[in-house]
Amino acid sequence: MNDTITLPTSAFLGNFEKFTNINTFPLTQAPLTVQPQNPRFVSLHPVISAIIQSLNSKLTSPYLEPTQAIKSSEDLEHFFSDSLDQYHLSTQDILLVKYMLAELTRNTIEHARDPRGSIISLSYGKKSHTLRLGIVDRGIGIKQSINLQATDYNAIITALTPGVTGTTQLPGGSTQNAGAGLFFVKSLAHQLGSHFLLYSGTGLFKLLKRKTKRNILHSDSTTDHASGGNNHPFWQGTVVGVDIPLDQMTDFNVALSQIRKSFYESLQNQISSPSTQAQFI
Amino acid sequence: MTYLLALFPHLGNFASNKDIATVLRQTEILPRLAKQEVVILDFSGVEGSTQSLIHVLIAEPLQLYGQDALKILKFKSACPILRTLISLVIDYSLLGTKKKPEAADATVELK
Repeated sequence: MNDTITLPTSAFLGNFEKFTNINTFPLTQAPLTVQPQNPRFVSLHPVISAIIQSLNSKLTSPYLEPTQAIKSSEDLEHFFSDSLDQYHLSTQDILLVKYMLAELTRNTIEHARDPRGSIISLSYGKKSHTLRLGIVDRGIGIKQSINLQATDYNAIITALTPGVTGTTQLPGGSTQNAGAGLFFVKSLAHQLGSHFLLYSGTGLFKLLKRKTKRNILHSDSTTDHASGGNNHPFWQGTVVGVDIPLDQMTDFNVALSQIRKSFYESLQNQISSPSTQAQFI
Repeated sequence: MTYLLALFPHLGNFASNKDIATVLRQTEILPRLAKQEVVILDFSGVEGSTQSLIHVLIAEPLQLYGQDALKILKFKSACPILRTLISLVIDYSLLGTKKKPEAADATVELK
């Protein structure tokens, strides 16, 4: 018997739970049926297409956005040249989109241990003038990747903390990683005032749209204007969704400079208050 | 001796391939720094990159040689975004070393 994934009428990052509330996900690739609640109207964020294609890569459905498997940096470079031209992005937006895609897909290649790599999907919302990204893998998930004995949600929060990487706990990182990638992508979404979603195991973190012009970056994601928890249907691997409202980034370099400052200050604080201080009693 | 390493031919106009960057660090950068040769990373033609890639290129020399790495590792024609990313990696790579990092921006000196 086929597993069935039910498609809500509408699900984007803001109401992503409309999708997770009505589904559970099979642990292995298996025959899959897609069943819309309302066949005449289905409007979905591309991250949902990426989720479904990663469950069964052979599935075809008119309700799903096209997806692409990215297994290497070369695959990503081809994706850049094949897929981004159609959106007529400004030079700055191209750099921003490439930055996010490169950091997120590279995370999968290095940490997910999924031989199939990332499944990515991208769509353009004409009305909102927003590029929407979904990047999904069926790898080991965040909790195992950072080797943390905690809930999936706490592991996600830890993975978003500056300086946390699965490869080392040294300040400044290893020769290959510094534990900055996810923090930078989340912070760029914050600068854009848009959604960023990170889902792994039963944990889900969702940065909500910024409602005020106050633009304060948080190195501790529990203080972000966000929602989430640890009560979602189990996802083996990691799901990332990001919305990029085009033309909203006033200056990419200024945004990076602000994130740089926040990242550095957070690392300084971690070093000045090491967690391994001996306690003599 | 000074060695100019042009990055565009290897990494393209958006430098994101960490596998190639790893090879460049291991075969072109580190062996020359070990011989106290000056290595100039030439970013001409590179319009953007990621923090992760810049980390792979330069974090290990900074971890190995500390502040002294900046006397023999220089950066040419880095656009503002690349300067920000380079400065960031210098900042945190030198955090764990004995000498305090000076203003990292000042190390991006070649145009």
